[in-house]
Amino acid sequence: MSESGSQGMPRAAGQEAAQRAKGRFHRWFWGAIVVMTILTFMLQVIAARVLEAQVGETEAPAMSDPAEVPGTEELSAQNLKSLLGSAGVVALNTVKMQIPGYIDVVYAPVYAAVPDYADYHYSIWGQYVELGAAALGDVGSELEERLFDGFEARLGDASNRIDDAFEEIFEAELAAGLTAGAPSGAVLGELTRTVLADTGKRMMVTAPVATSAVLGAALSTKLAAGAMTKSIAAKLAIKVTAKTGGKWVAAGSGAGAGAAVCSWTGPGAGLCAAVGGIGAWLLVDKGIMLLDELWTRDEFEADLTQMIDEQKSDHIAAFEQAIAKRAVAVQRVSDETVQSQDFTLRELSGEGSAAICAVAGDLSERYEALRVTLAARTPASLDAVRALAAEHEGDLSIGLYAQQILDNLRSASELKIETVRISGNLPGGYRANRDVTLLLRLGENVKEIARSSASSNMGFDALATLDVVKEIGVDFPLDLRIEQHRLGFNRYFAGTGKLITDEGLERTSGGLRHVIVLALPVSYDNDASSLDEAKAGGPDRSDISLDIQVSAAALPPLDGVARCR
Amino acid sequence: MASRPFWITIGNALAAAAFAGLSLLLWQGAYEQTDWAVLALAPLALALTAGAWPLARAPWRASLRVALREGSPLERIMTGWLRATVLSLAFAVAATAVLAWQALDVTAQKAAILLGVFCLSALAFSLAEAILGRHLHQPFARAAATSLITWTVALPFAVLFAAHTWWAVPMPGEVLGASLREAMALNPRGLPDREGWITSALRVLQSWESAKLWAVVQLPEHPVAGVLYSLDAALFAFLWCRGGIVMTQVVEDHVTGGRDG
Repeated sequence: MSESGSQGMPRAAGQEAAQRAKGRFHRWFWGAIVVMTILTFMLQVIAARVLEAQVGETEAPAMSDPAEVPGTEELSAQNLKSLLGSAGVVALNTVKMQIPGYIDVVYAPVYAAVPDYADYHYSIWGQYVELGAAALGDVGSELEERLFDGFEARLGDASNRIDDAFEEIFEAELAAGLTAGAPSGAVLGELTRTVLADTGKRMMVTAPVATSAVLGAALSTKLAAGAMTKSIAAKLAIKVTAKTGGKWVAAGSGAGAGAAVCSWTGPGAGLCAAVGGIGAWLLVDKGIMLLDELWTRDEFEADLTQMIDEQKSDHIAAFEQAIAKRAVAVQRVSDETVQSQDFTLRELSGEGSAAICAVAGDLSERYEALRVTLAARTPASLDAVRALAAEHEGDLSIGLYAQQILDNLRSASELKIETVRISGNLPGGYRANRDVTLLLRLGENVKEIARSSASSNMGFDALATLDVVKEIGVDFPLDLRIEQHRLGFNRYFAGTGKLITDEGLERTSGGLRHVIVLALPVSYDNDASSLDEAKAGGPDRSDISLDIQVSAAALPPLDGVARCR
Repeated sequence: MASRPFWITIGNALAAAAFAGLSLLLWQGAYEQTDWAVLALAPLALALTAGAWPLARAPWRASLRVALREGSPLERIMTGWLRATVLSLAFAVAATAVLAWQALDVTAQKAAILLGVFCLSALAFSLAEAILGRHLHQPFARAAATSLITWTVALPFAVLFAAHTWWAVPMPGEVLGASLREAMALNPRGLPDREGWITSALRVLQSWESAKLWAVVQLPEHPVAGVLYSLDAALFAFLWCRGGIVMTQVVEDHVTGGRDG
């Protein structure tokens, strides 16, 4: 063997070994791929079966495709918020359309009882019972019993069904939204599931229609029967008036005839005559009633039906209002829950915390000023705060805070005018120790102050209690008329002015109750012969002081912003 | 350097991606049930070790041959075997651990993106190696291509991932009002509630992540904290791209065909 050949042999042996090693690695590589594929597939199938079993127990949304990777996914706050919001909107709109159907079921027996009540109304017995009840002021009891028997229970049942429908639709929409919106194959993470479960539980007990304050008295059968009661009482009054005259005549004739017929009874003739009279009364009554029924029964039933329709419409509107309030409350609950869900780094820093917390701080400061200081509630400052809050209403970090401010500011523009103290003296030449009557008009509110004493030196001092709510920033015309009572003819004075609320408030200090002082010139009207005719603008004037006591309700304090310190 | 049809190059990249992807997928699915799921990572770790070993040894040996005089006994002593073993094992363990951690809560969408980046790294590496092979001797051409492609693919991917973390990744709201201890006890990835050495190790990683996030939350006025957190979260991109390159070398060298040099 040559040298090259002997050197080549170890090299060839090495290459052969390398080839065998490569062959083994080749088999190992592809074998590993095959084995891992089979194991992965088996695991997916097992995981899908385990998940299906878990979905049945825990109501957690299932994977859409069991063959895909079951990674966990936490929904962002924005996604959750819009998901819960749209679920609420769909539930509200769907249930609103269903409410008339539920109320139809409640009222069906009422409509069915109308002919029965008409039969009762057009019977002798019914008529006298109604008259007796009307005399006692309780026509409604028979109405309630005949028309509205079981009404409250049915209405309560309808409330519960409406609540149940809302909850079912809400949960179904939520589940559908999660299935549609989550990445395919993803299982919701624990945080998201916790939020959804928490929101679901809170939704169940949030502002249920069945206990809604809006429905409150509207559910009362007495209220339902009330309007009808008045109408029926009115009809009874007309009937009685129309029929009584004739019936007395008949009774009189009957009594007379009875007396003649019963004369043979001697002393019993009186009683006999009375029985005859009563019998005649009833006969006539029956006849009149039959005629009445013939002419007016259809109209009576139609009136009753119309009143029931009106009441039903009111109930439907009340339920719609209650369910709308519930949807708003559920949305608020959802927002509160979601707000603690998560955030992004961008919101926390950069475009997040510093800038947003500055806005939150600004809002807080301005709101606090408005909260306890009436003078600060000028239209301009209220609009500015509202605009700033509206701008950030959709922000993840302070959206709820801004929404809270907007809700609280709804009644911030309201100003209550409690009392007006009117003091002063008449123009110089007309002063006398004579009583005066005052008539104050503030906008569309009119208040007459009863006759009170006045003296030529001290004048008069009267207090008018108004308790009217007005809008800040709106000007109200003032009109004061004074009647001076004299032995011969009375004198009349008048003065006009304007209450400019924000100007008046600007001059006040802190707090929620203030007195706005105005000077109103009044003058004598020689041509007036009554308070209504008195006009201002005469030459002789004097200033009457109007001390207008105003107040406003304190705004509720705000909850803090979690992400701002 | 033998040229290779492009379809083989693509096939190599896909095979490497399939191998790595299946290993991580199996790990993700099995970990829900048992800590023994770590065995699913063994093929990946072995493959990464096998691929990183020659990458660590060959350039060093080539440099040593240039440095040592002919006939020096040091050549037989300083084989580079120990160095290569330590380096390749360190890389394999680090890469496998980081990739396994990322795989725990990856969604299908994110997984598709990651596998795409993996294949891109592999293809880019093959192309770069072919081009550099015309100018550099092996194993330097391979080493240069590895380094070059790791940076050119991983760097933009890391930036994009960091931007996504900053902009859109939701962080658990519970950390806002939590103390450090409470934040470290959070379980945002939904690790199974069981005792086990793997779970314990992963809880350490989770606590570390939560602690970093808690620190960011304490500094809302300093956006740089959030930026650094996002960049830190994106660093795995380098290991992922490097892993793609290493796996491709394994497939090229030991599965589909040999290589000159």
